[in-house]
Amino acid sequence: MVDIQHLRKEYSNNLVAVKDLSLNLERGDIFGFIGPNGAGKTSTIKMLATLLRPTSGRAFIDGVDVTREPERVRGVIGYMPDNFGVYDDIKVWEYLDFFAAAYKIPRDKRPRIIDDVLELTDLTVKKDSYVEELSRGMKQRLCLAKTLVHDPQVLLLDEPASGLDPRARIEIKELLKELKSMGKTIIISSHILPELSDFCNKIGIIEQGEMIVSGDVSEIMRQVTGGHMLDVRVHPDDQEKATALLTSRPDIRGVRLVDGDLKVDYTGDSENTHALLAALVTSGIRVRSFTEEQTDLEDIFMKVTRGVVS
Amino acid sequence: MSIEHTEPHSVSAADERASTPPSGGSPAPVAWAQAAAVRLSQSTINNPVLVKEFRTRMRGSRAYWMLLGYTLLLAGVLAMMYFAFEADRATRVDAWQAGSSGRATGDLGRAMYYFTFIAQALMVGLITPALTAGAVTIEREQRSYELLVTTPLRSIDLIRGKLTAAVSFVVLLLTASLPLVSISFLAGGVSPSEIFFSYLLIALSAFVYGSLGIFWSAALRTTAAATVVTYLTVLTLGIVTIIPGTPAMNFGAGTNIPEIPFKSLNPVTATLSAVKPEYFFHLQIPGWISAATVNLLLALVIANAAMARLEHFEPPKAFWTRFLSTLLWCSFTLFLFGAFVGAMASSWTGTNPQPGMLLGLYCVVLVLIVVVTPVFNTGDLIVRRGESALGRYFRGLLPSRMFHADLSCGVPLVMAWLAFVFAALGIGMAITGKWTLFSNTASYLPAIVLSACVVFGLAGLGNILSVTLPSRWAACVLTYLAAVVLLLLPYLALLPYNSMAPAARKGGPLWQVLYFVPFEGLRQVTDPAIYRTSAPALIFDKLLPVWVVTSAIYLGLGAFCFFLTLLRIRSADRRLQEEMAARELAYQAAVP
Repeated sequence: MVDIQHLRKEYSNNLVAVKDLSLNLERGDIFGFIGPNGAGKTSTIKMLATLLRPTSGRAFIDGVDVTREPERVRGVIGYMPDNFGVYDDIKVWEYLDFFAAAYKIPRDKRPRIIDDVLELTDLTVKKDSYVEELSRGMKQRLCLAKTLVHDPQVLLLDEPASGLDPRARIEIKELLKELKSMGKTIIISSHILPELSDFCNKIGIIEQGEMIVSGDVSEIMRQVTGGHMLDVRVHPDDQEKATALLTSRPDIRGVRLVDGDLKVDYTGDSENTHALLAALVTSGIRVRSFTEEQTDLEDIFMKVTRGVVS
Repeated sequence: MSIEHTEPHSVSAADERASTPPSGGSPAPVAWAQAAAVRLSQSTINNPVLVKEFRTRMRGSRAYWMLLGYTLLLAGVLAMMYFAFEADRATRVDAWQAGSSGRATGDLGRAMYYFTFIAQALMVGLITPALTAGAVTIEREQRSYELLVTTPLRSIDLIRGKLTAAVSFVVLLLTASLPLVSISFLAGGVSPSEIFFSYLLIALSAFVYGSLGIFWSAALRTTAAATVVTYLTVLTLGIVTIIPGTPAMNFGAGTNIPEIPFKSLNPVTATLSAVKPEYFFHLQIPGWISAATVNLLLALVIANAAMARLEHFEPPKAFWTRFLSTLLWCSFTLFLFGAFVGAMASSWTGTNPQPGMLLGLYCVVLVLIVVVTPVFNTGDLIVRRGESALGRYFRGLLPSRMFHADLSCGVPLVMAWLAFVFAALGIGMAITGKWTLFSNTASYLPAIVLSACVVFGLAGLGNILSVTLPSRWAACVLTYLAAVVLLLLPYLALLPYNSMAPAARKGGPLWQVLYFVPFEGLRQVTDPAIYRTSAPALIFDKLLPVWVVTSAIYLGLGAFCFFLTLLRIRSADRRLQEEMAARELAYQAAVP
């Protein structure tokens, strides 16, 4: 659905925003585009949205070259910039009607589509309000609603939740999950990771214009962490004994004491953690809890970009 | 080096679908009508930009306050004018009783008409730029421009929507003034057609100013800059055109001064002489015809130029910009020469053409050449894949590619325009009954040859500067500068020329620069007798007429420049071909 090949963007002041970026997404993929501010996320998304001409390389959306046939690509994509403005002096439904008309949707079909996207973005009650009366989160949802009026197959969302309060952030997240279930291909960028961790099936981490890692979330987790974090809570008197026992084992890289819990960096097979528990129990350590900790994107991000950010 | 590389854009499938009429097997005229209806609706009620502009423009109280302010201001002007007139009449009546003539009531009606329309023309000039100068910049400033770009909206939809909305609002203001204007009917002296065409011309001038506003809005970054530059442009246009336009403001009828199309660019002068007869060769046509044509075309050309300034949108087809501006130049020259020749014919008593008048006409042609040639003969050479730059350059010289945007396409275009000018001039002279022009081929043919050579020389200059300099505008400005220097500087060097007695004008090297000035050659052919007595000593004096040498100089200049251009393109061509081959290879490798 989205195919990027050796994309490069240089600006006139010799700044290289994107260096040799390649990416391939299938239909229905949700791609999380992660990187610190100024890493080249927005430049990449703008090139896909036909707003910037790549210096070299190619990008195809639905098999159509974005530089050769930008008009055709525009019909397939729904683009939401990170910093956008809405017309204030117009009603919510009129705003959507404007974009529906711009996408050449026939007049008689527009009311139904507008109702649908309002329903989806939970703005139905605001249909007859003026856009200027909406809160920031609602404006963000309205912009998302306008990117959906022409039922695009590919959504390019540049920081859709930036600057929102936690509640609005969660609402956007719910909405994205719904879009995922509708089978849309979504590229979503963010510099905040937890935003993406629950629903992306692919991620790419970009820094200084270079894609450091990209691929399936689970694969990357395995690749980057190469092990599991175990959270072991034992009786306070047994802590030293347990630490000694654990560090002596070959399949354990390290043990840290955090807030009375032992954080165990386990490199062995996740199927065999029970052996570790058995070893602890048989040596008389009073184990209160033994859980496997989920490694989240934030950890990956910190690991991957360490040292390069500064 | 401004040789550009582009890749062909294929027409979008969606666009094709949208533009095909819903025929369904209906007969051709019906299908055509349906297609026309679809097109019309797309540009009006189905143009989302227009619908949105209409919705927001009339919402809230602002529009109504503007309407109120406009009509109140107009009413104020009318009231002041009325009281001033009455006060004046009181003194006139006293004077009349004392024996001199007073004014008829018809004068009051005409005075009302003049004052209301001068006020309206000025107000339209003030209001319209404010309505459109922010059209595109506001979208950029409130960061909604990118959202527009990524929709299938075309640049023409955006410009047309914004412009129609602004002009419609001005038309609304004009309509609101109708009751005030019709008071002048009560006093008499004004005809309904006069009022109607005055309104038409004011609306058209709003179209011109609106297009100017949109153009600067599309070309500049901020609304503030666009507004300032638009007002400056409108002001300059108003001041420049009022100078030749003033003769048209003679309030009475029946003056002998020819009305010239410059006045049509000024809303005040154009409006006030809307139904005044104007010479058009042997005919007399009402003034609104030339004013309406020139203003309409001017506005269309500016609006087209605005479309080309919208980044990310597809640029308008070069054909329309070139075609419309050629149409503008052709109609402008037609009305200009129509007025001149008509006026000349009416003032000639004999059959001999007056040399000064002919010389004046040829000089006007020269000035127009200097205005037209550089802008059409500078630009980029657009080379497509699988094509040599040199081949592309030569192909541009074919007359069939006249309306394309390539660098070399300007030569046939300007030559065709020149042919039109001289044809109009010749035929116009013929139909006014002054056949002597043709018997006097000694001046007509040399003027054609000389003008064509000047076009060729300037076009060559424009071409070589275009392929040498990095920017098109630098090339264009330098070509204009070169034209002014070539045509005017020799006179500065020879300022004492006219004050000398003919006998004192002995041959000197400095005199020879006069050969650069086409004006000298024209002087000689239009009136050889006078020229002989006052001519300076030139080297080829006895051998060749001045115009032959001047033509040869410009022809040589042009040929030299074209030769240099070819060399330059050839050297760039190889690099370009390699680059294109590399790109093609990279593309083939990347296609999934």
